[in-house]
Amino acid sequence: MQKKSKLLFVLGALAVGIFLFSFNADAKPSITIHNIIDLTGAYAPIAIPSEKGGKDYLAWIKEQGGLDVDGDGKGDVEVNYKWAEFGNIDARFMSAYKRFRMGKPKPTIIEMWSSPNQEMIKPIVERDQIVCYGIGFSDPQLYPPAWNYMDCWSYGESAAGAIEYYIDNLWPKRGKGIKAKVAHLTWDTAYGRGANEPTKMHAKKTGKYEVVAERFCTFMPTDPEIMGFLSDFEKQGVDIIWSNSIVQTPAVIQKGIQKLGLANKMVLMANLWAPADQLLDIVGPKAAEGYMCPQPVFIPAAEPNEPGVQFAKMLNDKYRKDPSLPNIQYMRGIRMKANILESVKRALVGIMKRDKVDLATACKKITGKDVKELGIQTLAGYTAHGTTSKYQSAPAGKDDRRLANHDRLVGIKNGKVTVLSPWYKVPRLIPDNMVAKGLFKDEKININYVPVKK
Amino acid sequence: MEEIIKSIVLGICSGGIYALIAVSYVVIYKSTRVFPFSQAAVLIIGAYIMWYCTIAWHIPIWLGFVITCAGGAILGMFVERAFMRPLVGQPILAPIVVTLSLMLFLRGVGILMGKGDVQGFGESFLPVGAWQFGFLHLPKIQIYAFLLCAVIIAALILFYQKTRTGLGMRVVHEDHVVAQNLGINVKRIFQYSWIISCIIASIAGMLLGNIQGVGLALDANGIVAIAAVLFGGLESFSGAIVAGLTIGILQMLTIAYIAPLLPGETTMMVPFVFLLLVLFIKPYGLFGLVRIERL
Repeated sequence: MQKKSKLLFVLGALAVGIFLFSFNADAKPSITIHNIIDLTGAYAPIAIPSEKGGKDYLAWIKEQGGLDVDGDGKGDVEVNYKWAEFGNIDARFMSAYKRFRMGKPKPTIIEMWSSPNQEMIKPIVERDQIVCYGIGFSDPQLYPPAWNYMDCWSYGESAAGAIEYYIDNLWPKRGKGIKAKVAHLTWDTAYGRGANEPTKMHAKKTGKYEVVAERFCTFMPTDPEIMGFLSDFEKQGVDIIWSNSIVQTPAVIQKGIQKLGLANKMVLMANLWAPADQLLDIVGPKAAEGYMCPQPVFIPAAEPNEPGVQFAKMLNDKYRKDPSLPNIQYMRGIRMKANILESVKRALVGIMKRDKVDLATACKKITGKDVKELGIQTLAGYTAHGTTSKYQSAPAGKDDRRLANHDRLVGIKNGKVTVLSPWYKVPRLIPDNMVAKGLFKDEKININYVPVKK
Repeated sequence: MEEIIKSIVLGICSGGIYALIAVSYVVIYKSTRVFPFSQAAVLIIGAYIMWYCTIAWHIPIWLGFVITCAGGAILGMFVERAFMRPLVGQPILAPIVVTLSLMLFLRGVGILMGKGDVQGFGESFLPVGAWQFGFLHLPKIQIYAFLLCAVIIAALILFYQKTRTGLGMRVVHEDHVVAQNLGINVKRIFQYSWIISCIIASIAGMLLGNIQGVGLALDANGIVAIAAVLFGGLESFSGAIVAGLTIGILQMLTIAYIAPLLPGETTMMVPFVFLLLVLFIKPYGLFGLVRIERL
């Protein structure tokens, strides 16, 4: 009896094994994308809502049956997602990178969070031939061009575009031949300083403004700390404050401007990582009034009927049902993952054509070089499910590593998130020595912002 | 001159909260001789409790304040009973490591509570705007926060001087064995210390959250307050108050006079440079007790 049951057990195990094997044999080909994200460190306030958007998008792709490569509306390739949390600690970042690089399959494209880490890893991803899809947009990553791609334009370009647009179109003293005075009040990090030098260069070239002060505050500044800086700016006659930080810092600056009664003397502008909707939640409509930031995506609070916003709403309704979503960060999270998957998809199509192989083989053969050359480098004009404008025409040349070059100015007006400008192409601030080296020859360089003519 | 006066006044305003946090460290150290690094993270917990009460659950502010204090008290009781009491009599390194670990643990709790997002109190639960006295702009929110800190510190000092438990705490501070011989329940005093300290840190957290936004980075204020405690002397309330205010003033003077000259962020660095100088001259801090051992 015992022998019989043992035999039955072995046969049963064999049957299960054969079933699983046959199931695997029929399984779809798969690709893997990677992410080294900061969910608990300084970048958590922006990473978390973005990742919610990204995760919901991946869930939707899975529900579609995978990544649709042939365009027939049905999923063809299973998407695996590997991520690591690094808490904004360099050692953990490197450890996660090493783990991914040594694992199987070898990464082709890795999403990375923070300028300092992306700058640090630039020569390493180049050596390993892995595309870095970065959410930090500092100049050292762009110049000289390598394997670091950036979700948007550079910090300097975005700041320059926003400041110049404001001076030309919204500044109360416009048209009087006065140069605006700009002060940077930001973090003392590679990220915080990202816009300082490029805006100085832009100010010099355009002659429309001058950077009169650069001051550095703590990550979580106190009221008196900020008020000390604001008093200094008031004395210097500053018209515009630019902050390359994360929403908590502009929140304190904005409150300080209102408290000191400086709202009619100076405005605060911050970069895209301090979205107007988040700032409004933190400081309330009264204190937020007048705040501005440029954004490369459509704005859920202001444009609920835009197709991209509708798509984001559908994802949230389906997978999350969070009443506070979609917000700007959620939209950006969707766009990031959509850009990554579109790059992989284009690379797979390119490999099939180039090597005359089927999809399963292409999935096995795909390399970082394929994703770079056949995928991400070709994304100009891709709207990522309508989350951004069709005017985004980056990468704009073979040396361009940006994935956006258009912005709109978004702000708080009458207590509401409001779009304050049309889409405009940001100034292209390539350092002169790069042009002298013969790079970026195939691009049209604009030093001023260029509004889109519909 | 205007600039100096402005810096001093604003510095006193922000130093009030540093002093309050510093006092929360001193309360525990005075009775247990354990330096509670974890209090930096209690700031985060206090801020999130108040945020949940007033913003997420729409509870009246006064009730939110009471709930936050109660939350702090429960947290203090739990920490003492679960983590610190088993370490009584153990080598000093053990409780230090535990309070450091607790700091990380409470940060983790903060991540769970806030889901990593930075939150805010919207229009603030304290009056906004500023009073203007000539060239001086005094932010109301900061003045009210300062006054609240002053009242809490005064109440604590009265508690220490006028109540039986306060007297017991002072005896425990002098000598644990003597206190036990006098019939004082030393373990209970330890527990009271943790409860009081966590209530104070929770209040400081909610005040800071109201000014800076509610997020994980609030614990940076706790780190600055550590400099204040060491600078003032580990066992001294008056030292903590003077040191907290001094650090606030120093930060403001730095912004006014040193920041324009140096190409980087200096406000966080200054308290620690100053601390180094003070410890070089007075190793026990400004008001710390010099312990002399008879060999």
